[in-house]
Amino acid sequence: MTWSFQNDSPIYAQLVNGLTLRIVSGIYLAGEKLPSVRDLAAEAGVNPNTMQRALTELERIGLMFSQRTAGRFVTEDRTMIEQAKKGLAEEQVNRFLTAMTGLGYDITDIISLLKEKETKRAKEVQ
Amino acid sequence: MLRRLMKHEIRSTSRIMLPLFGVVLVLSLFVSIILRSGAMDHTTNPVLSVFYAIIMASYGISLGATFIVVLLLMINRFRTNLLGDEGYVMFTLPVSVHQLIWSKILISCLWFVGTCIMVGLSAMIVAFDVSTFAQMKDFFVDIWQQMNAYYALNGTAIIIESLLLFFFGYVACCLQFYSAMAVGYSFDRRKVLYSILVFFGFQFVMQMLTSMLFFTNGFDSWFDRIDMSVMTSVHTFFGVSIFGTIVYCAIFYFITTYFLQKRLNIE
Amino acid sequence: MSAILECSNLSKRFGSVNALSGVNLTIEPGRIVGLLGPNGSGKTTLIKLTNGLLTPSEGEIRILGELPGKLSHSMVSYLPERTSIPLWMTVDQLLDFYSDFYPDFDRTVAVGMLENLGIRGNQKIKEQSKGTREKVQLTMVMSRHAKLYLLDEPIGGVDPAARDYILNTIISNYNPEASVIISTHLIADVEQVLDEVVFIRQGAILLQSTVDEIREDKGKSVDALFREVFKC
Repeated sequence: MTWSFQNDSPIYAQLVNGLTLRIVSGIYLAGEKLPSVRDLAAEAGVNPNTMQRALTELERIGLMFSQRTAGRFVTEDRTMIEQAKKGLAEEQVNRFLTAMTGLGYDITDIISLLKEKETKRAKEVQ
Repeated sequence: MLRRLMKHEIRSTSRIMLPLFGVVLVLSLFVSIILRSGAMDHTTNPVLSVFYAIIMASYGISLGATFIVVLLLMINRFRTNLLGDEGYVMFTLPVSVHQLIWSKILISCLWFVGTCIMVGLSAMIVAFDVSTFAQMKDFFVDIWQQMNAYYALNGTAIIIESLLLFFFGYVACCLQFYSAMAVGYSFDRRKVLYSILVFFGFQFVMQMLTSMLFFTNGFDSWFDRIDMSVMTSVHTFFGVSIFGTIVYCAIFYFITTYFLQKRLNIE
Repeated sequence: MSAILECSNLSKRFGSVNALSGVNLTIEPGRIVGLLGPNGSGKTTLIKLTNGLLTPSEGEIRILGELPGKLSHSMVSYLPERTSIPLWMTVDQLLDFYSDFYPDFDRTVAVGMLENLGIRGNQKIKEQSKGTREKVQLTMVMSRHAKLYLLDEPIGGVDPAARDYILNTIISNYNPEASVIISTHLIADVEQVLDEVVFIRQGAILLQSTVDEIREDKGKSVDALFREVFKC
């Protein structure tokens, strides 16, 4: 997964999102030790202070925790990760809904469209 | 830090000076062989005699050229290393401007002395012969004795005085070039042209000052008033010359450091 | 902790031209700062003043409390806008040179970086391409453990791969007690690496802010803001 950044929002916020995505998708496993700030910054090609800020934010949310000497880890609390995943999913759904409403569909239309798509896909798989 | 600056200065300049010394010494060897074998007188082959003549001529030229190269190198090192692109690196080293200037002066002196020694060495190669060598030694010993005994001069003092005069004279020469370039390169354009103009300007002013000093009545009468022996007059001459040269050095040194510190203008 | 760089009422005139006028600027330690402005805005003048290559007409500049000079030079690592390493040297001789003059020069790091770049020690700098020379000088500059790195247009004429290499070196070299100032007009390329930007126009500081503050407040990238502010 490579890093790319949008122009319209703060870089640290995009780092928070990107790191959350890496945790919920299992690139960083629950309880796993994370690379150092400098390595993470180098990998993403961003300023180490900005990366530090994003990590602090993730600690505040509870997706990461740091131990004074051992370093920084992904949370072991799987419900927490699930919650974050749900949060990201909700965000995607909201974005999708906004776009569809913009096209003039109401919620029942959208649901039937999704069902149609699903039956088509099931047939193709067979 | 001065020592380290000098180390890298030697590294840079020896690339040019050492091969040049090599060429001169090899040519001296050739000349020596040609002269000793009498090949020049015996040959009837025109090609060969032209060849001999060329060797002899290039030997003479190379001797003179070495001194000129020492001078050109002194100028060029200052120009490229301090006032050219390399100046960005040199002037941001943790060293003072004084150290930069002295490293250049001392190494140029070193090559000047080196060239003198090399010329002596070359002369020995060309003319080496046990009897000539002995004669040369006798000649110098003779002069030394005559100086001490006949003219009642202190030979050691005179040698030290001449060396001092020579040293400060060379330093003054370097600093006159350096100060001219330091001033010339502080302009935004036509840096070389300004450097040359400033150099001759300095030359003119210094000559004026010197002649004013030596030929004013005050100075003359000062000399007249004191009844000096030969010895004191020689020592006075050296003393005054050395002092004068040091004053030259001080003036040019001040100009150089001032312009390098306050008016530096590297493109 | 004292500021890495502090300019107070700093002005520089060339004849009747004001290259810098009344600049007040403080750079704290641990920052990577972009000094951004169009050509001729005074970026290089500011950097040269910091290095003592120019003398202020008014005001003063201090590096960790020191005026530019011998002592400040030992704390500042400077990459000039043009390659200025002595061309007659070999790469090894250049390593000797930097080791001799800078106690904070880490020769092992430099040799490692040169190996990564495929540059041999016995290579004469004169025989290298312009791009290679730039990389060699950058290696020397970044291999010091300095307090302030001053990089004047480090990504000006280099290819994208070299640019990434340079930016990566800056990030992995990060030290919370040192600061980096990068002067450039190519903002999009460096924006992610910076935490602070200083806009400079006609010799005056127009704005000093963090990258994320700008993005948060204006909802646009620093690059976009720069284009807006410096629109012709």
